[in-house]
Amino acid sequence: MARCITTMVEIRKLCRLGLLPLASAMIYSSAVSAGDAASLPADPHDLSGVWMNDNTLDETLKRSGLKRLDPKSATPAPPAARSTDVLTPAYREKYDALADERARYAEGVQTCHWPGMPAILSYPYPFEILHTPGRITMIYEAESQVRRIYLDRDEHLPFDELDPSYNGDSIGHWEGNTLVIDTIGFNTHATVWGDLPHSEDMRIVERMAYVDEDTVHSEVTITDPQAFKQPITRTLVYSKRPDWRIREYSCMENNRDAPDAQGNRQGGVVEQAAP
Amino acid sequence: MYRLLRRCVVVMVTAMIAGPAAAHHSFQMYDQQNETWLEGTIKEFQWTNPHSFIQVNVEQDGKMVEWSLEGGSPNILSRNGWKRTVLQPGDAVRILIYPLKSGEPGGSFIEVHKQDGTVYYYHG
Repeated sequence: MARCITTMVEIRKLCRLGLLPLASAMIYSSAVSAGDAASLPADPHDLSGVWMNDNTLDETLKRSGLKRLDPKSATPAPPAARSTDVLTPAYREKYDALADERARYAEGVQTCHWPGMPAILSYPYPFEILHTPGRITMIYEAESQVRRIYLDRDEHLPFDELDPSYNGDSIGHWEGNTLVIDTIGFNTHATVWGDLPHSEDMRIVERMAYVDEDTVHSEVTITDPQAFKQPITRTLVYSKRPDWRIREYSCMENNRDAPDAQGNRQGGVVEQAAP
Repeated sequence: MYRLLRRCVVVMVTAMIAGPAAAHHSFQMYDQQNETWLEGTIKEFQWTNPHSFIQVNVEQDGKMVEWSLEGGSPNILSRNGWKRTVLQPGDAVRILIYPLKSGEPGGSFIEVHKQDGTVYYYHG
C-alpha cells in the first residue's frame, strides 16, 4: 500500500512536470492502473464537473511560475505523436498535399474550423461532463462542441445511419473504474495531432480513469488501417476545475488571421495610421 | 542553482507544449527573438475570439501610428487575471511585444503595464 501511494505521488509529480511519457511508463509498470483506492473520489464513476487539459501552454507555465517561454531556447523536437512515420504511403501523399496547400497562405494565416476528434481532446480549453441516465455528455468550450457518449447501447449506429461527422458516434461502458469510450463514424475534415490525415475508418478508444481525487488520465488509442501503419497512442491528463465556468469560444467571431481570396492575411495590421 | 533549475523547467516546458501552443493560430509572423517596448494610448481593446487585439496609438517621429497587438483568447486571458474592462480607451500603457517580422505596426503582446502599476501578462 505504502509503495503504491509513493508510486502515485511520483507519477503525479511527473505529470505536473509535464513528463507524461515517463509518468505513463510508471503507470503501466505499476500494479495501479486506475489510481490507489485511498486517493480516489468517493464515486470513481462520477466524472461530472469542469475539467482542463493539464498540459496546455498556459497551465504548464502557471505550474512552473513562468510568464512565457524563453524565446531564445532551441526549437523543440515535435512530440512522438506528430511523427509522420506512422502514415501509410497513400496517406503520406495526402499529408504532403495538405502541407502544400497550407504553404499557399501567407505566414500565420489560419482558417476557422471545428477541432473534431481527436484534436478536441487536447485543446487548450476546458470541458464539462454531465451524467444523465444512459449517457455521459461532454460539453467543450472550444466551438461549443458536444460529445454524447451512449452508455445505453453496446453497438454503434448501423452504417446507413452513421453519417460521417467531426466527433463521430461514441458508445461507452465501464471496466472497473475505467470508462471505455469507443468512437467511429468520422468525416475527414479534421486531422489527427500533427496534421495527420485519416480516413473514415478511423476508430478512437479512450480509457478514462481517476488517478486521484481531482485528476483523470485518458489513454487514447487511434487506429486507422488505411492511414496508419500502427496505432497512435497518447495519454491526456485532465484536472478538475470546480471554480471555472465554461465560456463561449467561436473562432468565427473575429478571425483576423483568416486568408482573403488571394490567400493573404486579412487582418492583424491596421494600414491607415490615425491622424 | 535556481537559474539552472529554471532553465531546465523552461526546456522541459518548451518540449512538451509545442503542440497545444499552436492549437488555433500560429504566431509565426511575429519576431520572438526581438522583443520591443511600446508606449502609447489605448484606442480599443478587442476582447474577441479566437484572439484578442489591443489597438494602441503610438507617437513615432512626430505622428500617431496605430499599432495592432494580438494576444490570447478571452477564455485564456480571463484565466490569467484579465477582464474585458481592464484596458479602456485613453489609458496610457507600456506594452512589451514581439513585433511583426514584416516591420508593419503590429505585434503580439507579452505584458501590459498600466500607469497605476498594474501589469497584465498574456501567459501564466
